Amino acid sequence: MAHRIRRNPAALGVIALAVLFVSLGASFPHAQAPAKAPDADKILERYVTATGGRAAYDKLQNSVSKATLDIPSVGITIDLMVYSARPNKFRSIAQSPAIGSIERGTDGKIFWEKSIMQGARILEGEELADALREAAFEGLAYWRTIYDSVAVAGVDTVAGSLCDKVVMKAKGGKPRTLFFDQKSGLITKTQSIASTQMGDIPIDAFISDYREVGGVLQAYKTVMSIMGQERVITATSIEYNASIPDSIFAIPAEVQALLKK
Amino acid sequence: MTIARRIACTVAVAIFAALAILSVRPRVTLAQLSPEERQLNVDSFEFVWKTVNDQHFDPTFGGLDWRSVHDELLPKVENAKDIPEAREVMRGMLSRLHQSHFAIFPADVYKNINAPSKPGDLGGSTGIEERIIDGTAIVTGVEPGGPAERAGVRPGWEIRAIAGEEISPLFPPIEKEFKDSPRKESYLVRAARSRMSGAIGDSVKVLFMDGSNRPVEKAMVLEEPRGKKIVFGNFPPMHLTFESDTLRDGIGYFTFSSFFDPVTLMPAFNSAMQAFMEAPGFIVDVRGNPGGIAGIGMGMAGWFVEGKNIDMGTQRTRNNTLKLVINPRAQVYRGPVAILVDGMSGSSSEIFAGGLQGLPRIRIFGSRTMGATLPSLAQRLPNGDGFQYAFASYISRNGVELEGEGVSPDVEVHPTREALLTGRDAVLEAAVDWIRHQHYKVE
Repeated sequence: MAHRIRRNPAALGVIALAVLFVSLGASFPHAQAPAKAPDADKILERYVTATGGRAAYDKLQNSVSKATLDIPSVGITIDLMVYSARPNKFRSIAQSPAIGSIERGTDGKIFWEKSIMQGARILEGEELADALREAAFEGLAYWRTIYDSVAVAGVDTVAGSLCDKVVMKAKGGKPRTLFFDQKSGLITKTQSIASTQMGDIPIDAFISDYREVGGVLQAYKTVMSIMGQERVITATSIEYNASIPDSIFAIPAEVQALLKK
Repeated sequence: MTIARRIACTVAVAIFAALAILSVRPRVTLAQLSPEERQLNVDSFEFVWKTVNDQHFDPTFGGLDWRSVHDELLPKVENAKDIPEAREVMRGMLSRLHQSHFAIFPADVYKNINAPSKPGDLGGSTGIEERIIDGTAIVTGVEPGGPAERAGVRPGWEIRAIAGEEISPLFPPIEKEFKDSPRKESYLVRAARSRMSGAIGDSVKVLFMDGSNRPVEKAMVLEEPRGKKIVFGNFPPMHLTFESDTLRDGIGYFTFSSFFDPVTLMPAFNSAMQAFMEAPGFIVDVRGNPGGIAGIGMGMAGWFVEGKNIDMGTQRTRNNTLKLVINPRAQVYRGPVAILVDGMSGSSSEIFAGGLQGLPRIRIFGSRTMGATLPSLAQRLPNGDGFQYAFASYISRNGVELEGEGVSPDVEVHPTREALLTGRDAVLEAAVDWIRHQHYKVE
């Protein structure tokens, strides 16, 4: 299962950094039952097995993750905290003395963002659809529930290893390409286009340092290339089935004020 | 009515100050480079060249043969006898682009960057804000409690000579060279200000003509600029000041020295907006503000704009165009808003003003801005220096590429010496007068 930390930099709140430099919107792959793509089906199922198997995923109810986001092109590091819970509750907090906080979250229906710089907003349209898909806790473990089509698009080399390229598309969403290492079955790269408030942003993400946590394999490092700029997300801790107060996923007051408008 | 005092300590000014300091008071001991140091300079040169080659928003570099520039200048870096010489080669390379937001910062800037400032550190200031009015350098503001104020310097005084050198001869060549450039004012101001800048603890003697046109010489010891010292990534440190005030008739006023430190700045601005929500008008003064994080300007704009999907212009990289969308606040200020700008307003100040110009209830007062609006990043080079580079262009919501053009105000007003000597601010007065004529009142 693609872990929340690396799944969606946009969901991590760093998309607001677009107004600093570049946006970090990146939707991570959600899988959907392919119309007809047995090879792709097999590749995705192999990935699920390689990362622990559905039985292991089914035991997971929520996650709390900590990470750092390094932006070498500016010279700042941002601390990330991500909460995620079944079926599709999510909250991320990106924090740095340089830029303050950028938070994003959803209660499963409304997806919001708030930051010290720009206040609060409620996502709409394609951006909202993408974000809600990303918030689904099960993610790739149940890829068939999200994607309309999945198809193999050839073979490529990532970090010296051959990978199967699988293009996945959710209804109404933009296609995303996942690169599955032929030896390990793990995802080592993704290519996607993030639908953001500012516009579409192409993102390449290189995924590595898989470790077992809670019975499943999680990637601890993601190196993203966004419009030529590098961003590095490094997980520092991942905890499953943690005690998460309900208030974490509550809609913040500033967002509620917008809803009342 | 108060005259806002601003300390312009942002990226652009920090660069100017650093460059000025290097030109006025060389601090580096020249020494032969070791082979390793030489290689680091070459690596830095290659990094700078390649970054521009790969990421400049214009793949044609405005018609410049970028590869030829590399081939021409590489030998000069390889043979540079010291780091300052190598640095000047790299600066020279960047200057051929004729664009803002390309700079090399000396590694010294990062020394003890997070420590409190102390004597000997770069960035010492007299606390004087100046502009060139009718060919003479005029004090337009004096930092409260700073060296100049304590010495008795007042707005409206003319700066006649610095360290015994008359400064008015500096201006005609600049006026001629940059006749039509929006950056003319910034170069004029820099010519004067660089001569009054130095290390904290340095002394400077300045000859003024006071309000009665009598010569007055003041000796001042440079101090750390007022405000909170801000370190933002790889950019040189700067100082943030901000001020909120209530003007005549209850008009709200907010000024700030740079678009940085949102943790400090935005709560103050938000509080001001809440306090002035029923004011007859609101003034945002970004004169002398060289810019910073554009997102802060977008957040401020959210207090003045009600509709959805209104943008402040677009940011264009080589392969992408992104809209700078304004997110309206839950409660929006609905009265008239005046934004004050001048030739020392740069970068995010211009994006803020240019991004809002033309929207209902918003009017821009002052003089043409700097025309330096390229979104930029900053990285450290292998030799320790910093490297700032633009990766995108900015097009205002009115379709104007502001780089090299600047924001032309809706109402052009210039400060005058006469007004300054009597404690008046002609630009601010014009804005207040306009607001009063809008007769805005909350029902």
